Amino acid sequence: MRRAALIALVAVAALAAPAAAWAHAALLRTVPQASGTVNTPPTQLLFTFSEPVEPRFAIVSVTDAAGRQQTAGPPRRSPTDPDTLVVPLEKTAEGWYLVYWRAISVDGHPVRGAFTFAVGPNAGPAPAFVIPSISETAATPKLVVFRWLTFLFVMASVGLLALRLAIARPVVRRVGGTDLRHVSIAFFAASALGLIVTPVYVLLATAQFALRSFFAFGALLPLVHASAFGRGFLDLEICFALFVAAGAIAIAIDRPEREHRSVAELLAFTGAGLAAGATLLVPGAAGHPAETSPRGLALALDWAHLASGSIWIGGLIGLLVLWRSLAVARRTAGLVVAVPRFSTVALVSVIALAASGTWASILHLPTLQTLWDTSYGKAILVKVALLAMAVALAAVNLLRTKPGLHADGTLATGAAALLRKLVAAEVVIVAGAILVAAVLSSLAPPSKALAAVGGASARVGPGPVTESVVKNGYKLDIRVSPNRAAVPNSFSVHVTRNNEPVRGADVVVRFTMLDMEMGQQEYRLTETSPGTYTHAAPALVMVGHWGLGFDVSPPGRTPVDVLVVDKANG
Amino acid sequence: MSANVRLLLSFAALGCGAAAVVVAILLLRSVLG
Repeated sequence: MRRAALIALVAVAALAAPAAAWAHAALLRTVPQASGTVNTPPTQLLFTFSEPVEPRFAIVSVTDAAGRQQTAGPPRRSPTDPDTLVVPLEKTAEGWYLVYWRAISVDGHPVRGAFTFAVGPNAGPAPAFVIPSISETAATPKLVVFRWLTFLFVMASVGLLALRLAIARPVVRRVGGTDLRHVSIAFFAASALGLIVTPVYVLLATAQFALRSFFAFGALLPLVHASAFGRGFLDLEICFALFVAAGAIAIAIDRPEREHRSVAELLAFTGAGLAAGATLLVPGAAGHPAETSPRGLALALDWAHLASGSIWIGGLIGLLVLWRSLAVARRTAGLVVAVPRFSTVALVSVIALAASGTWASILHLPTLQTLWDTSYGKAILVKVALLAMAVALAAVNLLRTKPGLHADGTLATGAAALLRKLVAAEVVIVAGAILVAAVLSSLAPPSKALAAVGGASARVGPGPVTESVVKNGYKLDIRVSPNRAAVPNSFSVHVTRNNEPVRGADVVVRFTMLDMEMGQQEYRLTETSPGTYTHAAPALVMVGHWGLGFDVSPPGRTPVDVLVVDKANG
Repeated sequence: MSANVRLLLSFAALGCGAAAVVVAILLLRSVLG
């Protein structure tokens, strides 16, 4: 029965994933309009985002066909709309201009894009602008390592305190001559490291996002407070420091030799618990879950995921410390008290971890396919595999080692030795899973628009596109040329039915950016020859994957719509 | 450690917990609007 329950547990854990989702600043509109033509030279560029981005982190370049910079000053926030950035321009002549922008989302992830606009009335043909690389990531090795260490130390500290104050406390009373001093020291060590690493991570991330040196503290500190990401992690540091203080007091006044806690001990324990709960709420509130609908549920799942993970990793580290600190003569007796208590708590934690992770994945992944199609989904799979390995080791501990501890003599010593090895391996694997979680929360999650990709008729690009799609008795010959981002592209579709051109149809093409959240563009194609509908526009305003939806409504017949996923390069 | 000192410390710990909760709630309010 217990074995069956464990197998079921492993199966559930195999679906575990962290609570994280999209929260990236999307460029909603620009003035002048992207790909549009204006007849009077604009004096400024307006960028309206989906959230208030910080102008001090934003970079905007506007160049003409010869590559000359046209901006007259740095971006600043619009006095009337906090979501809009204003960039003053030099007096621009007639012609085409390339706009390249970069901003930092509220969650600290950088987003970039490029588009063109023309100043008319005689702008002339669009030049072949060279688009700079539009990929930037928050998942650089340095940032990921520090993000990992921040989570690892904070989680270990919370879990170690739980083990010290609640799970392993009866060891002192039941096994004479033992104490939990080493577990307390481990708690203080993890706490000190967490308190050091968190601000270092925030400064490193701010330095990277603001393109400044890590050592330019004078310039960086105001920027930390200026970004929502920086403020969130400062709040983490404050809550964590309060937790460490409350935990230190709770340890100082705890008298584990007494079975029942005094009122003072209970108050301090409650204070530490409240601070731990608040600390574990902060990463979610400062990250993706706070932006994911339904927000309350996403935040609760993130909190449950972090809390159960903390109890697991901290408890495992604490068990190792306890194993080493107990004198050989009292080791087995101490473990007989601590291990079954921890096993029960760990079992509940792992179930909560798997359940919250699975639920969060369902909330955040637009389709099942994104689990193996996107790097975000692949990171989830790696994390699931690591957690499944850790759960398998935990199952061996629960089914073999725990009963072995109750045996006599050498059998119990052997079981204790096996326990140490398995727990050490579990610590390494769970720490690896937290590293993957650090990578995962640094990656841009898949766009919701990807949910439509499941129904795509074809995948095309990069490079010129010639693709035939047959649907509902219609044959659509789709051409995109040159299929490059931010330059005018020619889109054409030749529609036939029973080898006869379909004339007089209403043909609309919709462009949806699939790599990040952006608005949708729509163009009506004009019939240039029987059955052939074309339009030229720099509609692919960014490098990346685009959903091209062709809606064909022939007169008096059933309409047909075809979705093509196109990859456009710069 | 006298009982009074222990009680005083425990209130300090409870205060830390309450302060952390207030910080988290303020962050949530600023994020969720």
